[in-house]
Formats: sequence, structure tokens, C-alpha cells
Amino acid sequence: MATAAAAALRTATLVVRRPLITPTRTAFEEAYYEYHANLRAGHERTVIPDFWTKKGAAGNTAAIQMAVPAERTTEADTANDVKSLDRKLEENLFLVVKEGGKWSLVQGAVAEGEPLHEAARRSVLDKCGQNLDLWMVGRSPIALSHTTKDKEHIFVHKAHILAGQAAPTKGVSDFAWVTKNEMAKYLDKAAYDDVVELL
Amino acid sequence: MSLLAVRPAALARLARTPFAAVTTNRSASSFGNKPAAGAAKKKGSSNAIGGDSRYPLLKEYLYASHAEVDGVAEVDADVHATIERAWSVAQRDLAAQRHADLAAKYRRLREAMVTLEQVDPDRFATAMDREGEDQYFPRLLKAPTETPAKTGWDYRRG
Repeated sequence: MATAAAAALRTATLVVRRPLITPTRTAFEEAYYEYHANLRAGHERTVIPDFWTKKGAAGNTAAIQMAVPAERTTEADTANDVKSLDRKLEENLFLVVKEGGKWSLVQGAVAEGEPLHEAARRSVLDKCGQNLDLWMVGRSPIALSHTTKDKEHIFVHKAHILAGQAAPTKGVSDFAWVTKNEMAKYLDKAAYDDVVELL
Repeated sequence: MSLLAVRPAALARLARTPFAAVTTNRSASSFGNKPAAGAAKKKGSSNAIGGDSRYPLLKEYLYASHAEVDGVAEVDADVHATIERAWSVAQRDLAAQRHADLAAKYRRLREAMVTLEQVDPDRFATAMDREGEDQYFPRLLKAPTETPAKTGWDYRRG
């Protein structure tokens, strides 16, 4: 059985920061939920507080201070800081790095005997620093890259960032956390078309 | 033909009504009472259970009819049907988009695994293995909330 020169294996990792807040409701959704709230109000018995609480038992409700929640739009949104992980809280943010003047997903080589998912994880930590709490989504790759030269297979793995921040090292000159819509501004056309359906 | 009632005005009216002013003219309030001609019910009367003045309120709460209420706004059945149909159409479009996204992702996943099986059977076997310490959901992977944490993203080494 002839063994041709084994194709080189490389990994690419799609690192995502998942949304931290619920999506904003559309005008139609708001109107629909309000409509149903009114329908329910028309069919429900009103709660009569005096029935459930003896006089004076509830205490001074006016003195209760409700907690003030944080804003859904952060300073990073107004400043449009693409390195911040507090930006665009209701969308996915994907990590793109600049290597050799070109923006791409984090790529790396696969060592001898090293499983693919471990190579993917290691290459992110090597290139973006150890201050990343990554979770690899299973062991299988999510895609085979269509933009490779001959005799090379680039397997794409997905990882979530749970805490920490990228700190570029080893040939990586810059990084950014971008949304799906912003990705086209960073990746070239071939790379973007390859990756867009994975986002 | 109106089938549905929206009564925002009734809400405010009933909530403000103290129990003593609850009408005793309805059929519900004569339930279980001896007919006392011309006698209005007294606050905290002997009819109350253990002297608890909420007894008349309880009867109103449980047995009163909601039929005769002022300020009822009515919603036409056709209007309601149109709203529900519009919602169903919107949800169907969203579901179709989600399905298309997932189908594309699955195609790419399958292509990758088929290629890996041909190219490197050992790594393929590792990728297919479903056991292992790394195969659990992490604690920090939380569901999204309406507003973010006040501490913001944990940058750890800041």
C-alpha cells in the first residue's frame, strides 16, 4: 500500500464570548407581549392586598430600596473598544488575530501524537497568552477549512472564553473581539466566506 | 361578536376598594346567609369566622361574578386571529432561519469528520470518543441575563 506524503495537519480555533445579556425585543415582540398582558389582566381576579396582609404587618414598604441594575450598553460600546469583552453584550464576540499583517482565526501546528483538540487549545494559549479560561466544545472539529493549499488540512475547533483576556505573543501583532457583522472588515473575502456559516 | 375583554380600568377600581365597601348586593353575598331584611353587613360582624373581618372579602373573592364591570374594552375576534397569525408567521421565519444555520453547521462538521477519518484514523478515534474529563459543561458558562453583572467581565489579571 503506497503511503503518499502525509498531509500536514494544522488547527484553527474559533474562540467565542457568548452573549451575557438577553436579546433586545423587537417592536413587534413588545407589542405582542403587552397585548397578551392586557388580555390576562382582563380575565384575572385582582389581588386585594388587604385580604392577604393584616394592617401594619407589611411594614414600611416605601423604605425598601430596590437594587439598580447595570446598563445593557457599556462604556466599551460607546467607545467601540474592539479589544474589550464588555462590548456588544447581547451578541457573540469572536477572536481574530493579526499574524504577518493578515487577520485570521488563531492558527497553529499540530505536534506529533497530539490530539487535534489539544493542539487547538494549546495554540490559542501559546499565541494569546495563558490568561485565558478556555472551554473547548467537545473534541471534534467543527469544520475543515476551504482556504488551504495542497497537502494541508486545517481543522477548525470551537472554544468559549469564560474569563481572562488575550495578550498577544509569538508573532501575533494585534487582536480584536468582533461580532459576526464586523468580521468582514477584518478577514479577507476567502477567509470570511469560509468562516461565516460557522458563526 | 366580541369574545374577549380587556379591562384596564377595572384593575385600578377594584384594587382601591377597601373590603368594607365591597357591594353586598350581588347574589354571591347572600350565599349561606340568613335573610336579614334591610340589614347591611357590619364590619367584623358575627358572621365572620373567628371574628376575622376578611370573611365578607373572602366570599367576594371566591364567588363574585365578574360579568358586570365598568369600562370594558372589547377586542374583535378577527383582530385577535390576525395578531396570532402574524406572531406564528414571525416565529416560523425565525425557526426556519435557525434550522438553516444549524444545517450549514452540521454539513461543515460532517465534512471535517469524514476527512479526518480518511486522513488520520487515530485522531479521528480520539475526536469521536465521548468519554473523558474534558467532556463536561463548565461552571462559568452561564445563561444570559436581562442586565449584566455590575462587576463586568472578569479579566482576571486585569
